[in-house]
Amino acid sequence: MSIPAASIPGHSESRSVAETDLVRRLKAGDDAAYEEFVRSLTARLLAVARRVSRSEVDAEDAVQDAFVSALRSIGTFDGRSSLSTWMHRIVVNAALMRARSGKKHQAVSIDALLPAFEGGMHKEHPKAWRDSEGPDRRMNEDDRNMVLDALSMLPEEFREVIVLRDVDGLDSKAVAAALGIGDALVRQRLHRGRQALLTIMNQRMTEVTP
Amino acid sequence: MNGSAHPDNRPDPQPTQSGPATSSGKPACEKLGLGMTCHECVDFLLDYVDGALGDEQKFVFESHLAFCPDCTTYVRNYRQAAALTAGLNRSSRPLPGPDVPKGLVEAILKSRKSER
Repeated sequence: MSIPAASIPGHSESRSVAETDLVRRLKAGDDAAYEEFVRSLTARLLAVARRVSRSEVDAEDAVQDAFVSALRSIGTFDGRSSLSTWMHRIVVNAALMRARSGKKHQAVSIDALLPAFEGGMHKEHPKAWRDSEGPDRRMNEDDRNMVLDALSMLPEEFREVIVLRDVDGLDSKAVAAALGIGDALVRQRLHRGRQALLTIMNQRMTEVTP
Repeated sequence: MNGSAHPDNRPDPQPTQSGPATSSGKPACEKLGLGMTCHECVDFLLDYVDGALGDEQKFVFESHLAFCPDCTTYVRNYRQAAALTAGLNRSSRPLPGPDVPKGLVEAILKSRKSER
C-alpha cells in the first residue's frame, strides 16, 4: 500500500481507511509500517526539500531528519491533516533549519516585521529595491540563500502558508484544505508573511551593488 | 509621505500631495481625495495583486497609487518579494540526477534502528 495521492497538499484531504490503518500501525511501532511510510513518501518529500535547501546534500539530510522527527512525534499526530501534509510541514521546517547557515536566529514577532504607519501614512519611506529579475529568470545562489534565510526567520504558521502558496504554487483554497484552516486565515497569514519577508529582505535588496 | 515623520529629513518626493496630518487629524492623503490612506492601501494589497478587488475598489486603490510614491514603491517591493520566494522553484542549480538517490531510503530506515 502507498499513501494515496489524494493526501498531497492541494488535493482532496479525505482520509483513506488505508492511511488510518498505517497511522495506527506506526503508532504501535510496526517496522513494516515504517518502511512502507518511508518508501511511499521519500521521493515527494525530497522534491519539497530540494526547493528550500541550499544543496542536494542538505535536502537529503532534511528528509532524513524529517522521518526521524516524525517517528518521535507520531504519537501526537491527530489526523486533522493528512499524513503527507504533516510530513510536508516537518520536512520544510527541517530543511529551513539547515538553511540557516549556522546563524542563530531569534524568534521574531510578526508584528515587529510589519510596516509602521503614522496618521494613516507610511512612518518611513519605503526604499526601492534594486532590480533582481523578471518573473521567469532563474535566481542566482545569493538571492536563493537570502530568501531561504528570510523564510527561516518567519514564525512557522506564516512560513508554512508562504511555502505552500508561493513556493509550491497552490491556490488559497488548496492551502486552506491542506492545513485544515479557513481560507480567510490563509490569506491573512499570506499577506502578513509576505510583508514580513519584505521587511527582512529589505536591507539586502536596497544595498547598492557595485 | 509625511516628511515630518521621517528622521532622515529627505525631501518628500511629492510635496504637493503630502505633508503632515491636517489640523482635523485626517491624513493628508485622505484629505486630498485619494480615497484611502496608505495603511488601508497596504491592507488591500493582497486582493489587488491577486486581482480580487472590485472595479470601484480597484479604481480607488490605483488612484491612491497614482499620487503616492511610497505605496507605489511598497507595492513593487511586495510583488518582488513574492516573486523571489516563488523563484525557489527556478533555481539556477543543476537538477539532480535520479529522483531518489540510491541508498537514501536505506539510510533513513537504518537511522530508525539507531534511534532505538
